[in-house]
Amino acid sequence: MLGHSLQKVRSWDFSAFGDLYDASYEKIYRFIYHRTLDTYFTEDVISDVYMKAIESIGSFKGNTDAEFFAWMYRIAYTTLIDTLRKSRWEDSLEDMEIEPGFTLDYAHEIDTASKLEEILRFMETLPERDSIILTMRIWDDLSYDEIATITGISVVNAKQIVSRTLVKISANVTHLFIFSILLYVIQR
Amino acid sequence: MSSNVRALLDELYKLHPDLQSQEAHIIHIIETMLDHRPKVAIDEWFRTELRCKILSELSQQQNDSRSNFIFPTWLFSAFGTAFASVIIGVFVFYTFFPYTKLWYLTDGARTRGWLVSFVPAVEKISDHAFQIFTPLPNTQAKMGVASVPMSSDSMSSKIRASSLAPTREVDVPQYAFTGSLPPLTEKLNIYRKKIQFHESFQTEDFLNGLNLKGIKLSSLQDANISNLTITESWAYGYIVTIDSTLGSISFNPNYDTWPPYPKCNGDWCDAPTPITQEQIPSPTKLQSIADTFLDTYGIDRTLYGVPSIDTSWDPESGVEWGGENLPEVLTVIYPLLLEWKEIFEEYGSVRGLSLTYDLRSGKITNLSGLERLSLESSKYSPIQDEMTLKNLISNHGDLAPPPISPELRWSDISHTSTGISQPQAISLSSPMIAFVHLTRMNQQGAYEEYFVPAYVFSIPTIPGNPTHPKKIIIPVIKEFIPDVRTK
Repeated sequence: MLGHSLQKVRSWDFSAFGDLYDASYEKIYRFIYHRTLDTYFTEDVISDVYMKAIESIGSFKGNTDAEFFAWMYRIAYTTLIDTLRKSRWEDSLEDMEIEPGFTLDYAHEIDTASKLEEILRFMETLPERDSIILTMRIWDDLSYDEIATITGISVVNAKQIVSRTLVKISANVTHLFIFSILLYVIQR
Repeated sequence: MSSNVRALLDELYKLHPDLQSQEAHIIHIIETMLDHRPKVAIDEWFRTELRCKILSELSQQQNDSRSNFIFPTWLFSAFGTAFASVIIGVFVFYTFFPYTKLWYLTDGARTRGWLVSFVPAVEKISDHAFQIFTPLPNTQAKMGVASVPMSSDSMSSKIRASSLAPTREVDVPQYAFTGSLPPLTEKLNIYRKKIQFHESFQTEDFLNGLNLKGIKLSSLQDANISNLTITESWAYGYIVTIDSTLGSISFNPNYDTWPPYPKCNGDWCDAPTPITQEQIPSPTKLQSIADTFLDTYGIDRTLYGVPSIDTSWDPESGVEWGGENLPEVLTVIYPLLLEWKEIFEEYGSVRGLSLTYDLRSGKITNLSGLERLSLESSKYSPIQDEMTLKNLISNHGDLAPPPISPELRWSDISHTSTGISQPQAISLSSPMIAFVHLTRMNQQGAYEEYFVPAYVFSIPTIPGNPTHPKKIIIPVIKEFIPDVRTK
């Protein structure tokens, strides 16, 4: 499907990049949004993703849809990690904004800051990469092969990370309400 | 339990068999995660803007890489010699063969990397910013809509109401829609066209992009030229009109360079022969011809949707072709997209890039609708009440297309039945959400153009009525519908 557009882009017909953009935008947007839960943040990141994509499209050698999507996911993954690391120190509990719609059902249940602080402390024990890989498997429904390609780890390693993260959550989260909060925080 | 959860559990147990004892808890966790998968709402305006910026960036990179290319020094002398030879060769060649094109003239602009991109320039302004929506006076007067009363002292309205122009009376079918309307988001963008003299064509990018077979238009950038006509003098050449006031470019044949048809000898001309079926290209072939034409002139097609081909002549199209002979020309229309939605004129035709293909010469003869829009966007709340919308549909909206001819506005037609026959009942299938191009008068009495979100219904072919409209369009913003905005 996209092979023809990729060929055109390689032969300097850059208008064909519009087809690649159309085919990938929603997937990449979901991928980023699932990790940021913030529309504006997602839009910032996705802009960077596509700027990087057009800068390096010349070096991309793939021809199939799967190869192209994996390449785009990889750019999105690395851009997201970079952006999160840069922005993390700026975040604080006070300026955390909860997007309407997503947390509406349980945000009002956050009755004390101490509960949230406890969860945040727990979150600090989870490697960033692990939480992203877990949600890639569950929310984005990506296969382990795809996760391995995107993150640059082996398939076995990806499986282990998903399992290990689930085990950690299982051991530390005993209350589903807490887990719901965790789901929000895990992506911050 | 879904197969997704089962697969995750199986994977988990392979690595941690001891966890099977906690299966219920883990299933709960996975299912909670799945239940809390964030709902994604993509902002179509941002998506379109980013796409335009990326394509524009790519186009810029292409031009930069070309201008930054540095010849190795040792090549200069060799290139200079070769170039001089070519110039002499061209001079000699054109002296003897004045109407022949060189290879680089027929080569597409696209292959050289030049692209004219007509990305709309959109300026976002505050919500509900367009405050003046005065419906066209004759719309109310003739439709008899219980609506915003026109100012009684308005001379123009009195003149219109007492116009001597005869009112056409036609049988209007009854439209019925019983399904569910596609949901609308809480706020929708309305776009207003800005009038910007010169600006549209005085950006360097634009002029650099438009490389009409070697003519460097950017050299005219500072000359404050608002309209420019370029005449191609080679065989099958065009007259290209650039109107920077309207922000549009059109192509028409320079007939001095086209073979005359029919052939005439003194006062005697050959009788024209009818077009045959064999002369009509397939839709695929026709689209390819149109694409090639646009590529040759470096006109960016990415802003447009899938082109529609005029097949009304074809008996298999189900449309009653009015003519006895096959058509002389066919039209290919590339719909202009705004937020990835098509734009319709209020009488139902698609707004976009229109190319006319002449079957006798086998050439594209005309290009129109190539425009660069400058817009302001403001968010409005759409009508959400389904009953109100369905009433509008059954009453043809305020803007139903004309049943007689595209030149005649619906507002010029009486909705009353002639009584000659019973109105037909027509069931409508699900609509699409698109934009409709509407004109409204502001308080200063000037007309302003808007692109307004609307439901667009396709009307099935009605046997025995080939001129029946193909679309019914219902704007969903109350400020544009007089009888709704007063409620």
